[in-house]
Amino acid sequence: MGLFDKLLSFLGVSGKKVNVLVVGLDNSGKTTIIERLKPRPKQSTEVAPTVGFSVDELQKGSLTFTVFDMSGAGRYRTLWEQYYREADAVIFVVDSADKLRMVVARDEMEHMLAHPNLRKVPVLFFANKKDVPVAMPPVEIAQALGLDNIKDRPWQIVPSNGLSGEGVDNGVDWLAERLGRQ
Amino acid sequence: MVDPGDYAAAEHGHGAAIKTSGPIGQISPALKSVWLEAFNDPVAGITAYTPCVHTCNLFGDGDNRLVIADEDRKLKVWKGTQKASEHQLLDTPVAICSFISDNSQPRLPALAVAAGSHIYVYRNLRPYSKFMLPSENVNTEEQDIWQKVMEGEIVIGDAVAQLTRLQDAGVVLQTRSLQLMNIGDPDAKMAFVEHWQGQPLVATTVITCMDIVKQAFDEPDAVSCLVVGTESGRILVINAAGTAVVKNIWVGITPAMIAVQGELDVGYRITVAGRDGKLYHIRNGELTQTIIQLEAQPVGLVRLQKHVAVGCMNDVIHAYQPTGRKSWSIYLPCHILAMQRMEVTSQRMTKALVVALSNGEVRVYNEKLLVSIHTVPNPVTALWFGRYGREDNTLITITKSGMLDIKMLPRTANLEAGAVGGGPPPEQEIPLAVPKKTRLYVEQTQREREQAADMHRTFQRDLAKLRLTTARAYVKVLTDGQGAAAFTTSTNLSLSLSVAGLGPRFRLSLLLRNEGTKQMLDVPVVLRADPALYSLGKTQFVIPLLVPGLQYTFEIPVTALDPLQGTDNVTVLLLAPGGSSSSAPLLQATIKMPMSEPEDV
Repeated sequence: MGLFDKLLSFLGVSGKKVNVLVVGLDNSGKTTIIERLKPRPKQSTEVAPTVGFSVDELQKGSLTFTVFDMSGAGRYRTLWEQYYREADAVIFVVDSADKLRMVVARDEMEHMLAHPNLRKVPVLFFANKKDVPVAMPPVEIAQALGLDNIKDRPWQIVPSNGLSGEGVDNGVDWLAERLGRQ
Repeated sequence: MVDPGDYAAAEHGHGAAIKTSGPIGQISPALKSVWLEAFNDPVAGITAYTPCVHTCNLFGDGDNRLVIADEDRKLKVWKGTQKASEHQLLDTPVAICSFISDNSQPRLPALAVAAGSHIYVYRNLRPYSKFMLPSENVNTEEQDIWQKVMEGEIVIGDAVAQLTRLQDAGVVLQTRSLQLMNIGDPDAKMAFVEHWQGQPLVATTVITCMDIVKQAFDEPDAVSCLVVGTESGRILVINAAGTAVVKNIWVGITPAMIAVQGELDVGYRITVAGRDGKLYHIRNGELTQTIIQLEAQPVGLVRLQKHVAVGCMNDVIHAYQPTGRKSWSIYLPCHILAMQRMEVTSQRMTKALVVALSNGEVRVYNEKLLVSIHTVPNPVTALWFGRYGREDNTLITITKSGMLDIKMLPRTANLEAGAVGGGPPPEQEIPLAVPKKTRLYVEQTQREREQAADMHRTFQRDLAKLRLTTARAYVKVLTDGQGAAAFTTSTNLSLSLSVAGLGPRFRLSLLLRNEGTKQMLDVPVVLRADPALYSLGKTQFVIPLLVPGLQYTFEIPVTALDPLQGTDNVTVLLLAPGGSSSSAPLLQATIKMPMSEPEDV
């Protein structure tokens, strides 16, 4: 531990461990966003559809994120509920260009938030693929998903571009701030 | 075009109950819809029927496109919520299918559009090849007549007369001949013959329906072949490359719809709904003997796991097994517009079908159980269920006004629960508590089997004896005067007793009537009561005369000695008049005295 870390721990902001669950429909960009959160040398440019789930450990500021990257394919969505209990935060990634499946995303989100195992943890929504010309703006997505109805937990919607990494840091900073406050 | 209002509706659309009124002003039961509203474009401008709507993985990117062979001779390709491209078709389409012609990578499907008597094959949305149906045999005499007419050997009038004769003989003439016969004006006839000059008479036939059959494996991206039904009553199976006919099956009647099951190499079955209202079955390339006569014309044919469901014009859907047996029937309230099978990917068995009705309802049936109803504002022309975009289980509805409606089945949809709350009650699920078969029971049944005759005889004998004993006892009761309403056989008297009064003093009235024909003289009457409780005015008296038919009333005062002691019965006996041999009373009656009021002090 370096001097700076010692100072931080002295101040009480220690390296807290948080479990973050990353969910969303398939092809929404979950794995890509997580790659952008990793330090630059470790990032891989090509991602393949996740099978089952994958676990990563990231360091952001003083928090250590244990990220559970779940697969979004239809047959793997039932796996999500296994991880609700340990989740301290949820990141929901939405494909802004996929207007057709917005209602399915909404359905999955509602099921998730209504699940008894999920505590009142903050939820971060990434309106991903904002670079695509037909992408819906975050306001429309918030309306489509019915985010106004979420009143029992803090939430935030952030437009992002998983390929370039735009917006990803903003979102995670908000999440870190929320988690640090708790 | 989607507006946020649609998503507000989506809140209600999934799982909530909506009340609507059905046709003729009746209120239908609360509707329950399993669908999620994904997208709706009221001005998509699509005119197509069910056979012309298809989704497939055209570009191999997992994002299935919607291909519609539109009536205005265009092939429209939709991606997501927008139309991606439009291509020109050469003729009005009849059906569209996607098939994979070879095993080489990438396994992109080719589109086959059936129009007229050709099948146009498109690869990568570009015209690739055209397959022409083999022509039928023409009647040689007809051909001769035309030959001669065109060469000028015979007069047109003669030709028409010969053709008419042929037709009367029972030959089915070609359209050309029929048209010639229909033209009245001789000049027009000449012009018509000249128009067809040089072209020998050929019997072209057109395609009525098209489907695909897998070659060897039942996988979504396995090699498949086209199956085509023609107007001339044939079913043709074309090879995977789309170049030659592999099987040519003569059905005899024009197929309206076909349903294919199985694989070419393993064993396949084609069910044909013909225009004559019959269902034909083809098994491994041969027409079987099983012909099912439907009660009305078929409007939809859907292949289910083990059987085929056929919707008829009399608003019924019947499910038939290939042996010809009917599995179930669903009776619908109004006409069927479109039917489609629902192969839900999470469930192995394809038992569900979706049917659109003329009152705007779109119903989902899981075998016989109605699972979901939702309404569409215009009459439905086409229904498709399959993978669209990246999502499986999408229902695409096209209506007469050109509206495109896309709905998705949620992952957690319950296709087992009835929509209308009907169906078998949960009490039916409780198994009956049948007692266990014990050894004693088995032994008894064996004994029954062995000694059946004896057992029956004994039983009948005992029953007869019982009847006899009962009759004897009854007679005894009646005759020996011991019962409450006893009388001897020779007298006919009716006696009724009544008590009047509240207090300790009562009046007992005897109403006596001689029912017989002979008068009775000197009938003694005796009254009996517990002396400790009651004191009778007179305990005995003699009735001097009982004239038949007259009602006699006698009154006897009865006093309750101690009102608090309780009540008892008073017995009245009519004895035999002096001189009769029997000492048994003629008549005996008992009356229970009521509770007496306490004496006024």
